[in-house]
Amino acid sequence: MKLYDIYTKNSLNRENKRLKTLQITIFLAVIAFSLFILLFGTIVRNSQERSEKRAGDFHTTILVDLDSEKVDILESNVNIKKLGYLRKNGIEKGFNNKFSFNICLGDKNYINTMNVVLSEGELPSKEKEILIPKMTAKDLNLKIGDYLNTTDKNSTRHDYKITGLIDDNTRSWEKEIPIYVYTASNTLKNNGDGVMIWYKNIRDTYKETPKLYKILGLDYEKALNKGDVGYNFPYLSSHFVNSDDISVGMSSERYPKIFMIGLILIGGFFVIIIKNIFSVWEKSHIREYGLFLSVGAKKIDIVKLTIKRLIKIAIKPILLGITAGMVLDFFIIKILNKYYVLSQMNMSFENIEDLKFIISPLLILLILVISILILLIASLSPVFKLSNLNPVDSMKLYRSDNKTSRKAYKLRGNNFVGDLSKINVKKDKKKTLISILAISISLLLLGVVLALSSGLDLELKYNTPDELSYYNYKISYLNPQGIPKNLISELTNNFEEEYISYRKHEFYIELSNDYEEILDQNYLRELYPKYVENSKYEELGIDLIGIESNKFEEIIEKFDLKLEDFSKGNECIVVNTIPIDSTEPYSKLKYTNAIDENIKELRLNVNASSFEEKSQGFDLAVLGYSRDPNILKVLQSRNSLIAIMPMNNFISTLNKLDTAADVFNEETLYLKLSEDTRLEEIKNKTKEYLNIRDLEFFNRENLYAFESNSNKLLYSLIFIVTGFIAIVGISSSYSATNSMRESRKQEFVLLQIIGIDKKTLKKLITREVNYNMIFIVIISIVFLLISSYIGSTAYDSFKIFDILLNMKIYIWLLYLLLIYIIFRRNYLKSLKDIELTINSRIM
Amino acid sequence: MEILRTVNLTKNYKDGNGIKTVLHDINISINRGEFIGILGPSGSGKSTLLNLIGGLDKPSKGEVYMENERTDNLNQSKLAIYRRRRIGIVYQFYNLMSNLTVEQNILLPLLMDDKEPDIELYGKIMDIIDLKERLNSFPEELSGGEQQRVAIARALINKPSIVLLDEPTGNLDRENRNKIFELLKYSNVAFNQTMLIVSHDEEIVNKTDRMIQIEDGSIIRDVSLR
Repeated sequence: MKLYDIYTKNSLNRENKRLKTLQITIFLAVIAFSLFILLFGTIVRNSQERSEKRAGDFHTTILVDLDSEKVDILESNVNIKKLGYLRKNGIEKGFNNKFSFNICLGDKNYINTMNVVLSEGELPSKEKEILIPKMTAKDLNLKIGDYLNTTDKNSTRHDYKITGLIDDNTRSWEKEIPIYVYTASNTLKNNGDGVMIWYKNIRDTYKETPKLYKILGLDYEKALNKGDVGYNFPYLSSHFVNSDDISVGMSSERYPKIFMIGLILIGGFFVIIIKNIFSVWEKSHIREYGLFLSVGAKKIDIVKLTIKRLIKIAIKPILLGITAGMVLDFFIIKILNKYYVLSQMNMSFENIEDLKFIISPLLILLILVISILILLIASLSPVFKLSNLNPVDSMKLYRSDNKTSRKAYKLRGNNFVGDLSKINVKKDKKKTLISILAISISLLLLGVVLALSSGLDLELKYNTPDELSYYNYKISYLNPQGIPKNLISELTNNFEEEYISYRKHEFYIELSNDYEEILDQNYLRELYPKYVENSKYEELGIDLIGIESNKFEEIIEKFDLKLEDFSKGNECIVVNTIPIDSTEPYSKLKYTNAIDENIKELRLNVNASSFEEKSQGFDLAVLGYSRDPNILKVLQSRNSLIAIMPMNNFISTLNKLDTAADVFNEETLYLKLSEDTRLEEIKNKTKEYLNIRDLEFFNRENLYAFESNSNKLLYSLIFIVTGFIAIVGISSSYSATNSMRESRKQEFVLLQIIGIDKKTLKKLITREVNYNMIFIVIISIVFLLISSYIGSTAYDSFKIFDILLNMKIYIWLLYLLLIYIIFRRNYLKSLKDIELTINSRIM
Repeated sequence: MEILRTVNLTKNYKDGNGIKTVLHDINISINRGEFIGILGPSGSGKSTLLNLIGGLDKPSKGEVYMENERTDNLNQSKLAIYRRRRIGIVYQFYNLMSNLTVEQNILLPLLMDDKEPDIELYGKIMDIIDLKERLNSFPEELSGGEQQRVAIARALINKPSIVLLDEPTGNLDRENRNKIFELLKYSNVAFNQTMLIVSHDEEIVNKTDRMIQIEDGSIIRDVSLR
């Protein structure tokens, strides 16, 4: 109706100042949502690109010997969009070279998945065209367009044309190099041994794959237990497709939950603030609405009028908020990228993707919809009240919101200010509570951010083992051959400088050792049951470490032992320490011994008894025990014992085991060199002896680049979020005080008319502010404790009070002080607003 | 005995079109115990006159004397004391504090001064306003007429030099209007309370003892009605 439009327009024009508070709050809310949704979208997109780069974009692979019947089943399945056929064709020997090649045949769809690792050239598209690892091509001095010649087990020669080079992490000594050969689909449909599947709807993956297994006559459960079901977990998880039965431990599994929780928290926060401001603002119009009703308007007209007015108020801040959100998002991503790329430098993939600034119509629409939804939810309660408006009540000068009988509080002349301020605070309890709630929630959010920051600080200080605290350089050599002594001699200036070089493998102390006998009695009684409960294994873990002989000799001197004492090959020294409470932070760990020092023999196994795969154990003779957990001066696993032996014995022991992983192909050399040694020098010397493909170099700077830059990333985010929360909290302080001020204006004028002087009025106002602040402080202390609890669950090595005492409380206090200043200043502004000379006429 | 005197009282306001003179050289003298009605149409300046007398506003020119003491040049603090102790004011609307009970509203000026009420006066006022059972009620629980009675009681409780009433019955029905007026009249006689009542309603003003008629900011008539 035109009348209502005129009314809305006029009221919006005339109430400009009051509206600003509401509009600013809506603006900030939309920025918060925009940032959250856009940044989330960026992180998700980044995660998806990374997963596609690492693993391809297929949904699952099924290993099955193909025939025409099975192919028909697959190709007629209505849920499947695309299939890629493959076959492992066995090993072919290189012609005139020492390499062997693992031939993987694939059709167009399969080969296309290799695009993500294509480094140079093109994907093969004809028979006998191949992709080969870049490093292998370099080793063989081949380039794109050249031919790779092989002979198969039947001595048939094959000539493959290289069309493209791929990134691959094979080491120099690995002799079976995978190469990917283009083969026509029709060929593979008859003799392939696997199929790659893309479903029409990615969400069908976990539902349809078991069905397919069944139709193809395969045992899905068995394949699942063996780990043979080829789900593309990284890709699926990054696209929010997760299985209820299989947890893959990817952070992207948590994304949907994080998104919903974030939306609810931010949404809830702003619903309360906006509802509060809107509620007060609409209350001030109740008499007008009563007038409308009394002259013939319907209640639904009032409701429509209110919503229309809110939308008119909200349109500009929503649009500006989305724009501002996008601009801020752009700059935040720039800041984050500065640390994000650096934080990924130690990851194994060469091409790190920046976080991208993403704007899509879908995201903008999502922000718009959520913003409008928040506004509508915020307006629900005020609109509901308006829809139940009684025109007679609304026109009354004095209205009570409280339907129950009201309590009278004492008002004494000798404590006039104190009593009156208490009465006002108690009477306006509900209004006060709602106003203060918005501020308090910002305190809670700030508290959580500070608690997480505190937890992170504690984690870095006390729970992050510094691998290079003693040594200052580390070389990882991924090769079954040992690091040559000559190299170590050269690097350490003829063994003058300190070093240690070792290989390691994890084992379990078998239950066939009588644990009642072998364990220290105190440990057996008090700590072993806890260990079993926490670890879910009955067996204690023990890391077997093979140390380079020179260094090993040095270590065993303290035990009055010589290298010859280890001649049988199974002798060891056990470092007999285990943490009393392994949940404690690293730096606070206290140790106790686990093994009875009278025991001379231990039987170990590579698998625990609960493992499905059974393996044979082996015996170790224990020649001595050490109580020094830092015997190697390099931090070891906190949950296992250690057994040390000479490197040669270690290698021969593991060679005898048929199930030991090739993890022991890594030898780690730690060096303690003078501070002026440069990493480049070390690299250059090492390259003279060893193949660079098999080496990784670390110093203190780059070893922790990942953690350090990840932490800088985290700190940047914490800083940005804290700043934003502070701005929102301050804005809600303004709006809370403005609304409370507005509602008290008439009473302050009346008090002045009756005869209260400005000084007393100021005291009254200040007293009310102080009561409100006491209330806020009490709530904030509770929230501080809640935040500390949240911090201690995120960083569970630390208790609530550890987190609390380490929090940057001064930020918290500063924020409270700021709120107090705003409260006081804003309230005292009332004194100007209620100048009698201005207001006497309005009585 | 003269209780109030204004000398060439003038008030100007700035509005959109420049300066508007609301009151122009008002000279009046009021004796103790008089019951005076100020009559004038809307915008004539009668409420402004009340505000100047009550110390709620400052004149642009002229002086106000209450019991021979000049009041228009008092500072904020002294004006507050002046209003608290020597003036009682009743408006058409918003006379009461919504968070205080009826009794607390009535005693408000005394509580500000940390004074106890005159028991005898308090008893008389309670009899007059006839709200003894409602002393612990809150304003929203009262009718319009009851609210005005409470406001009048508050205006009388500190034995002011003068009670100023700005359209006190404007919000009420005929019956309540008459009741309130009777209450005022009674108070005027019983306490020898000087009262100045502003109204646009001739019927109300005609019941007072003296009528001052204002039009366009000037007094056009000042007659005794007894």
